[in-house]
Amino acid sequence: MNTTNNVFSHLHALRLLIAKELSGKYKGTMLGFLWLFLQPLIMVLVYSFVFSVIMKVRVSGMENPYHFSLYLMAAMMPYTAFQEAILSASNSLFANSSLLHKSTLPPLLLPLVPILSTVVTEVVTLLIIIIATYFFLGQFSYYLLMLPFLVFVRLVLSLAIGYIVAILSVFIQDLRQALGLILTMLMFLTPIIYPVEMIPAEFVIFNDFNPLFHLFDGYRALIIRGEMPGGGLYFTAGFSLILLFFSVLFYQKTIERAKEFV
Amino acid sequence: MSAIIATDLGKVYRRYHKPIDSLKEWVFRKQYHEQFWALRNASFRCEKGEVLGVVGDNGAGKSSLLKLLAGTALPSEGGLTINGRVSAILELGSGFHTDFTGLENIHLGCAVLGLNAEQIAGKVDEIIEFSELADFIHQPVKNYSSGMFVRLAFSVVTSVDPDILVVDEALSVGDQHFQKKSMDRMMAFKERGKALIFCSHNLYHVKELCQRAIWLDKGKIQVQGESGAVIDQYNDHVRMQNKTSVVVSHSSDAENKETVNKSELTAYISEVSLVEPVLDSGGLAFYKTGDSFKVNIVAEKQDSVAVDDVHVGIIIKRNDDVQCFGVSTAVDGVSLFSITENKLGVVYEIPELNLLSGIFSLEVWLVDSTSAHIYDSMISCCDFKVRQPKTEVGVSYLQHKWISPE
Repeated sequence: MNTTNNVFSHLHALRLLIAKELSGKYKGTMLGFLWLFLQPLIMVLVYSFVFSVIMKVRVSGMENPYHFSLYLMAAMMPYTAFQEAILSASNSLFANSSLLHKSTLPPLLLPLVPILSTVVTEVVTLLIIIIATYFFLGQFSYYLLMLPFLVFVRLVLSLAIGYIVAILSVFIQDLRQALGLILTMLMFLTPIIYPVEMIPAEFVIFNDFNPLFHLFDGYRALIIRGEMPGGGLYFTAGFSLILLFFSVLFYQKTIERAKEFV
Repeated sequence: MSAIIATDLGKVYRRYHKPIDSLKEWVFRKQYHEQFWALRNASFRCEKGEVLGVVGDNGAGKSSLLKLLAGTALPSEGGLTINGRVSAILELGSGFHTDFTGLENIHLGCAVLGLNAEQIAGKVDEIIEFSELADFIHQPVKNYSSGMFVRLAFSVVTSVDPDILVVDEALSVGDQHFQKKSMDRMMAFKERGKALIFCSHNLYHVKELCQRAIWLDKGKIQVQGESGAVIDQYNDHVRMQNKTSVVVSHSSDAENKETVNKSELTAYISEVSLVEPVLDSGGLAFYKTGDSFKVNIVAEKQDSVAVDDVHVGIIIKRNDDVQCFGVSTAVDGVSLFSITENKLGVVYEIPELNLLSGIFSLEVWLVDSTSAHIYDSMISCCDFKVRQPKTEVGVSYLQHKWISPE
């Protein structure tokens, strides 16, 4: 029918929607886009203050008082972006029902917009953490050049899960309620707020197959430890790409059905 | 090359008890739904430079059809070929994002229609000017009135120079001034050889704007063809519906009449018939506006009734129960003619039947000379159809002229 109706011919529409998604967040605020930097900056300061100055959390091998808070944030901030991506994807069809029903915008764009937007906040946050790490730990390495690859894998995994969640949220209303809980549980099950060494030996095998671990530990490797991420990252990358392929397929096959309930 | 070719187009909506059933259906390949065909077996074409009207009652499938043409819904069956860029206003909104400002929606709307940033920048001023929304363009559209919404939507949708323009009844929301402007723009489109699909409850608009029209009824194309003819038939149907609702309430009355044995009446109507009517394909008597019209009426009376005391009244009624014209031999001071001793007859002739398009029937009354006593009546007989050559509106054609003032 309409031969030009694919994602790529709508790049400009995508750009506009992302710009709107980002500016919408800070709309009506006095500081505007400054919040994009201010938010992660304050978080870094608060975490550092609480964990390093007040609680003085020390994990073995981390001598510097600021080590743990930065260690925590290097994995937790990307996870927050991941979490936000999934949650906004689950809402994306409902929030854009008029675009879904009354325009010829490819439906594939709807979850894509909020998920891509999380990359922007993630990158800003990572820059602040990298600067803080250099400042507090004196850690900075050329391995950081690999960071875009990690962000890319994080994006692919978010999209892969996001597309499935966007559809399932329509069919299973309970999912939208449960999703926040599931994502919090996943964060605690993945060694993000604690070092991987603390996992009891009998559970290590499960962790080895947790794609989230390899991804978020990768961020720590680059930012905190200044080394190459473990080989498990490639397992996560491969897993994410394959999952994305199937989830896009699933999305395209079921979107017409989902439309009827949005 | 036609702009639109639809063959056996159909759109089914599935009704589920729960949303999850739809997913189960997809996974298990087993039917969990009740089907509802909003549109079925619709075949038609729309040529370039043609305005195609779509009419029909609410729920007849108009919106479903337009959604398919606009590409916002996929057909469930059949083929749809669309040659060219389609741009559509469907209902209110047309894919606007309510949180976006008017300006942002202009950008988004144009981008969705396939324009790039540069092309959009070149059009923005023209769109704002046409919509006359310059003062509100930085407001979110959720604060717009429905008229403002439509003005913006129409301005965006028509600015991208589509090959095919689909317009749902949305336009009727705009004020007179904007309706005129948008009509002019649509006409200019047509002149430039674009195809227009136009759906409206304003049948006069459809008749005036469209060369051809489609009447949808319960998801099927009831009639398609020259717009005047289609609208006339649709009007017949609409008036008929209005009437049925009236008749139902009096149905017990009508039944009572049936049971009366006519020969017991002191006088009764024995025959009412149209004289040499032309029949249409459906067997209905058919007249063109201005044709001559004759009805033959025969009545029987008993000896006790004088010939002078029997009069005939005829009322021509349209199928929505509008009385078009009624007169009687008593009013005109005419006597019935004796055929035999107790059999009377008369022919009612209208040399020029100046009714406009519609379906009509006769109501015949047999009354005494005071018109107060009713011997007998036939409430709905001799159905006939009238078609007018031009697009006048109303019940009948009145002689008139236009003259120079003083």
